[in-house]
Amino acid sequence: MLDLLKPSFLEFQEFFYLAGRALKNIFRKPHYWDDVLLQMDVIGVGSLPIVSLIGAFSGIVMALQMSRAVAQYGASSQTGTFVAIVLVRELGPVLTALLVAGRNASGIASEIGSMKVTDQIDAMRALGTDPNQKLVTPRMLALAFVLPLLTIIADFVGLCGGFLIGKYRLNISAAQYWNSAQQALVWNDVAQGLLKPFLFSFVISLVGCFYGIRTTGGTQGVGRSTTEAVVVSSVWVFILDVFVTQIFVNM
Amino acid sequence: MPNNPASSAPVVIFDNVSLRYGETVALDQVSFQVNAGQTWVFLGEAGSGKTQMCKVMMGLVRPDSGRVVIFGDEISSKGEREMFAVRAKIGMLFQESALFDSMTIEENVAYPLENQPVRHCGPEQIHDRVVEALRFVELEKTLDKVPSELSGGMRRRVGIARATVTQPPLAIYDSPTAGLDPITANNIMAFIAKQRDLKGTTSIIVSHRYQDGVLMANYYYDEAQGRLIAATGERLASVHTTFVVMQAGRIVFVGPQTELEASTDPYVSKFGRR
Repeated sequence: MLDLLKPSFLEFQEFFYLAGRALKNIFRKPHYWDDVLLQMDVIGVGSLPIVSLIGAFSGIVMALQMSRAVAQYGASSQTGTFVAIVLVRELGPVLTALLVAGRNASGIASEIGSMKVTDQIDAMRALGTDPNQKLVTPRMLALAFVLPLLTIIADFVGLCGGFLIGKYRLNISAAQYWNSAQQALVWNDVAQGLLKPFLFSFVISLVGCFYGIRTTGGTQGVGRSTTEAVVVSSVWVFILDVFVTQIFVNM
Repeated sequence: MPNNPASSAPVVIFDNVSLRYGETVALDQVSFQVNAGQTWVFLGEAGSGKTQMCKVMMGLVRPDSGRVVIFGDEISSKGEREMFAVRAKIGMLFQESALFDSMTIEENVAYPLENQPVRHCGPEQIHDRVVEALRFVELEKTLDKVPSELSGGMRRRVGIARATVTQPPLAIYDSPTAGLDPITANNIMAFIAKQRDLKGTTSIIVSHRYQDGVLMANYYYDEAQGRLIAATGERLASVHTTFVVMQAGRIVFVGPQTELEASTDPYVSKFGRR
């Protein structure tokens, strides 16, 4: 039993070692701001279309589903309330994180993994750079900055999607929809809606980098790391989500 | 003559260095000493520990036991950050070149100049140094290309330019000719000899091709004629090359070409045949 657990513990330990070094490197020279900006562009701007699209559809679907559920209580006019709460608290952060995990945890793991199997990581060390500082820290910083922004955009586009359904299917006036949505949201919702993506961003970037850097075994190994990065980061997004939600629900 | 092997200081000392990965032995009590200006050629079959030895020398892999001393610095106990100063004195050509494929050739060659904590030149000189290093391997026209646009032999030459752009006193070439046709391979070896003979670089070459060693041991680069010339008389001493044969992580032979070719050991003599 102990032998079975040992590799997992070791992996955990290595992960936290990598995460610790990446965090420490924020305060140490040299800083690779070019790489941070480049990653913001790749991850942030690159994910914008898909995140907006999924945000819009989830808003539309939420409005449709909710309208039927609340119609039983004669509260169709309150659709905006439900869409806003569900999107900002839960669906916005989690869906965006999952999309970015699928898109970028895999991208990060395969990019760094390919570099690892072709000796580029060792070459980096040989030529005077710390791969953690050059590759991990910029990705971590970039994602920590753009994921909350992407989530805000997804939330907003989702609310717009809900509005379309409200106006053209349920005949709710614009003023009523936006008013109920705005009133539904309190600071608690906004805080958890932004804290979640901030925390998820570390999971996605660090898990992606972690599996990338420990890649072995040629191209096959790169494929394996990529898959593991997506699966593990997605699972941890949900696990973290439960904890954060638990804390905010009790507040 | 830029180098004088007889009176020079030790550059690399391996003292009983061992390294294992689980059950596999990568290096088994390896000991040798390379002095400034010397040429050492490591031969051995795949998996005999040649690449791991290069990585230990560069401080990329920490040995399980034994001492590694580079330019008088004991590196086996140094942390990653302290290693950068030592690595700045070593140029390394990786197996398959390991060029950064997201960067242009110019950025690749400029990388050590821009990133090593030891400053080799001012920022305004970087471009000139890069062009000079690329001209050395006759690739100065490829500055804006990316590695995937180049052939295997050209990539290897860019690798040499990147390894030597800082003019390190020690250069390690891991399998410089692996996977190349004989003509391209000889060209690559000519650039390695050129670096040794014009700049006096201590050279460590890992290879599976005996011809590479023969070339290093018997030819020198003549600047006036721009090609390799068979060395005779006094010149022969300056290109003097020590051959090492490795088997399963152990050194089984150390000596000059004549001894290698005279060896009767079945494994060693396999590498002493052209």
